[in-house]
Amino acid sequence: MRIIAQLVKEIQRNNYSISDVLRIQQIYHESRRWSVYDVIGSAGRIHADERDKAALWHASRAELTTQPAGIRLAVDGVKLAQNLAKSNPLGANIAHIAAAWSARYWLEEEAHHEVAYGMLLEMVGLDPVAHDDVTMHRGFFPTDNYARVCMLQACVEIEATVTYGEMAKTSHEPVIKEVFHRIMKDEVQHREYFVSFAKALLDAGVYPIKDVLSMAYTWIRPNGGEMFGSARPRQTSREGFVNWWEHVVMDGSTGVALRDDQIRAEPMQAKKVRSVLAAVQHATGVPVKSIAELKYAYLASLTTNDVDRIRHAVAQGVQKKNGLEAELVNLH
Amino acid sequence: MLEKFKDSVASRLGLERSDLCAGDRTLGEVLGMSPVATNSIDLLEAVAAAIAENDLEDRVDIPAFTLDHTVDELMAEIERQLSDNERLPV
Repeated sequence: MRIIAQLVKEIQRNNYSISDVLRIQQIYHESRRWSVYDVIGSAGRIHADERDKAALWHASRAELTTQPAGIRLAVDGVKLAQNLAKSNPLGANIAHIAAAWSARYWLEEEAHHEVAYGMLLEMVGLDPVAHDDVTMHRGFFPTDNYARVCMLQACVEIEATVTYGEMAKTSHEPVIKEVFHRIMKDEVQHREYFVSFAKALLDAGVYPIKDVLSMAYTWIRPNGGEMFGSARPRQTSREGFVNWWEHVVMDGSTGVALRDDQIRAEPMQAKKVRSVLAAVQHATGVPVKSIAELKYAYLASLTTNDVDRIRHAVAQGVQKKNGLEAELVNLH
Repeated sequence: MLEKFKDSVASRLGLERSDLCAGDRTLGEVLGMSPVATNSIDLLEAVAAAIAENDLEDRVDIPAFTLDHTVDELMAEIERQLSDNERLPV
């Protein structure tokens, strides 16, 4: 019962077929399932405060967007596998495995989340998500480089893990705490899967390291990273897929605004950054301890795909930065 | 320096420098013209590569932008960072 973190290594060592890996996924999935109706159905009265309501208003909408993302990953994974079948059979197997996981387990588990938050939303006295709101959140997820999408989804799972984890810790209503806690644990597993797929695609030589680094940097970079979502001064106007983090309501007069300490307070943002940096290290083999180091790694990866060279460039970048900072101190 | 920077960005996007400079083009419009870039990550990569190619890693941070920002706004930000950090040894 586990997630295979080193997919390429284990496939090669154990001579696993696609079916072997999918059975391991199935065992793990079965061992972790829980019933929304068992957890929520027997709940009596729910005493939700404004904080709980705001969190449920957002989570019930955010979870609607997983379905189009899961469909995209399932379809594009099979397409990628077909394209790689002759040139890179190992890469093709990885793409099949990622596509199957997305189609079967990710979509099924995320359906639990959507239903659970939707039910709780109504139980605390808020309006159900309106028809137009539901269909808007089902906009098609765009096609992109599969490694980038896996890393993007890892970052989104990290965002969900930290925000749901906060509600699991701080809500005063036992059923709400319980649901946020269960879903947070699911999201942690999803993050691990996405990072393992991103790593496997790099290890199999399907994509270069830069594709994982660019997405991680886009997510956590200071002054405008995706992690700041709707708090950014400007956002790209989009049609189609809804990036839920860009729609977080912060206007207190709406009655559903998420407070800073529910999503973007400094300790939460720091936790997200640490988690993204750890994901980068696992996927690429390049240790990065800060956003600055991630930037050095990313810039180096634009000219080399060699892990040792990228590591060296990070070390050099840090050394040069420290030297410049010391020089600036002397100037003052 | 800024002209070289624009050349690098344009080249990464499979475009000419003049494509970037015509009118008040948004980055979304530039993306639409590029034969190789498909989304904002590709744009980020073009800017990052221009920073690396021109040895500006220590003087310029990769600016955050949206697809609604214009090329002029992006280049003004690069110019501002270059000017702010001109005292740094190269």
